[in-house]
Amino acid sequence: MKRHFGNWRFYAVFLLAAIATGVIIIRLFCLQVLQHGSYTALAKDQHELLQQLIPRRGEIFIQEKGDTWHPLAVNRSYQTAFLVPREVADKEELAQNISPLVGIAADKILEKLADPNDPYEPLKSKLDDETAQKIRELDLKGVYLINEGWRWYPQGNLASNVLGFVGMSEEQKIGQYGLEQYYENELAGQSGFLKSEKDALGRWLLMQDYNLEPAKDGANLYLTLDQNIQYVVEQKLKEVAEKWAIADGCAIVMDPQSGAIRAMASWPDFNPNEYQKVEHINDFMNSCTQKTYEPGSVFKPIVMAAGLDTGKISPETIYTDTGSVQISGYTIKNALEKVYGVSTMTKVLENSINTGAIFAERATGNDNFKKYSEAFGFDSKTGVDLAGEAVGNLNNLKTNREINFATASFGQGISVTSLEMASAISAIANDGKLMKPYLVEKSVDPDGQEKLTQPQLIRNIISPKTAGQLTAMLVSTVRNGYDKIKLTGYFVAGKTGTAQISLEGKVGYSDDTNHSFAGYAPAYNPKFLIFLMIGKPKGVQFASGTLAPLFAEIARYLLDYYEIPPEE
Amino acid sequence: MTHHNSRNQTTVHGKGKLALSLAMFFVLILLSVVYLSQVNKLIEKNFDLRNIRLAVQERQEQSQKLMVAFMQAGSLSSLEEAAKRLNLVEIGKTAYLNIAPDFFALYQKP
Repeated sequence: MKRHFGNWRFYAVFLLAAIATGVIIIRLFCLQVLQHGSYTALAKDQHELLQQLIPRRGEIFIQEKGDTWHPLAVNRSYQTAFLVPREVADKEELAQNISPLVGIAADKILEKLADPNDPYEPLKSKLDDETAQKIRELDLKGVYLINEGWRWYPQGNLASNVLGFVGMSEEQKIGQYGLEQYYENELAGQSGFLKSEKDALGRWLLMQDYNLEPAKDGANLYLTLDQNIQYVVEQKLKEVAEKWAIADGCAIVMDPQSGAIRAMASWPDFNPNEYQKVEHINDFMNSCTQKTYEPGSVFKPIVMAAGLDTGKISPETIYTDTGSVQISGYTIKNALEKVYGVSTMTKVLENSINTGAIFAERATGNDNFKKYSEAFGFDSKTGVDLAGEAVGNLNNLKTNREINFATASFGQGISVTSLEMASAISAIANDGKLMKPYLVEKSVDPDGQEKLTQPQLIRNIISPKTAGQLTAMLVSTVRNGYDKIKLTGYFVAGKTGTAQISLEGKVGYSDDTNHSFAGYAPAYNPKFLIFLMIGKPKGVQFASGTLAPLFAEIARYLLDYYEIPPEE
Repeated sequence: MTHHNSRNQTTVHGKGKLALSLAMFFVLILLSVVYLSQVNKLIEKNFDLRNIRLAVQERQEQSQKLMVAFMQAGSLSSLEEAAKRLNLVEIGKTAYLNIAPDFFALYQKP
């Protein structure tokens, strides 16, 4: 009986041991086999350092007469404050203390602290040094500061609509609008990584082996824009914008012989350092490349170019203006219903006679006019190196309706961008050669390799003889048409445009107008072309009153800046 | 005699073993000391490197602050404000000198 009892105890203990062993084996199986992956990852996370190496974003420089470069977009580190809610003991006190420093309401901070298990909540980025120091001095538990690299634009608003900005998209910093977006791949570079061991505090153990794939920094961009010209043009455009309460505006200065853009100002502008504060997304748009509009009379040189180049008209071709033209039941009149009588084609440009433009178009022929309009590039992108370039619309010239060709001859019923218009007039200034406009003069890789942008001829549109004749007509236009352009001693070519703005979603035109001006100097060996456009100016009727004086001011500045002596 | 020789040989053999053991022990000790000192030096260098990295970081921050201040001071809006403060006068009309064509030395390079 006793022996039997002893056997029972032995088996019980054996059974318990066997069960315990079985449980341990099952548990080990679960941990080591079934959950092998997650525990390996956990262990690796504790001692292995895998760090993504962020490349340095390429910087952007603006020139001063081609030999000095100034930074326009650079990288700098700012302090960023973040919260670790699970470490915060007194949330109310923390929120009250830090609220005035970061400029966030205390209740908003309390919302961020609501989850007690939350390991990370961003609080405020781009803190200035003073604020960061004050936060550090408060020594609050659960509040941390880290260095974070951000884009910085030292010139503030200068060329903002050309530059764009670097913003956040899907938790990644990415170039948006303008050059920052267009050259994102070149500027951003390529990420690298570092794989090594780390100590208990998460620091890299330098004595251990490591696997390093270095990051490849982005290329630096050197622009064709000239800092001084850009600044002056922006200031002048701003003055006009405020004086005439315009809705938007654009000013372009370019070298007609190469297509290099020396200034591109857009109104309204913005400060890319504070792009979050911009109220309307349209403010990020570049009016020079992203707005299309009916150009009005500034388009008349195009119809003249077509007529002269086909030999259908000459500057001295005469017609008689009766003040209006009847086409397909429509009556087209001159501005202010003026009647000019017998006029030459040169007079048509000088007085901006609508009926004269219709005469020139009819003499040229619809097919020729359409062909030249397309050749000047109004229905295709200029190819400028900027994101989101819009394209003009010549669809009315594809309808074969006589009235559409008539209105297009003086720039109504078709649409263009300011840069398309500037490029087209540049072609007239450049012996008929249409050049591709560009903004980046060279890019330099991190290893110092330079990539120069070569001026690119798109096509020859008109002969040098036609270009010369047209230039003479435009010089005459400036001398006899615009009394507000006084540039004594220089031959200056130019033409204004005042276009009606069509009603949105309806047939017909509103009382608002777009004003534009295209001009170049010295006319027979042009160093610069200026194109100006303002939308919906208030209290003024014609571009000769708004943009002719602005053109004169900018042209005077450029003649002095480039040290161009008078020609006569 | 034979027994005596054998004892002597055993003693000599034992002494040799002891000497070898001692030598190996001291070599091991020496190697351990060398190893420890090398590891110590490595760790020391590791800390030095870390300190240098921190110092570099600190100087980079100082350099960045100076660079930022320099760029802010050199921005065109700052220069315009400075020009207004100093009452600088805007350039008026530029006059160009006419060089007489027959004045060879100035007109063109020989």
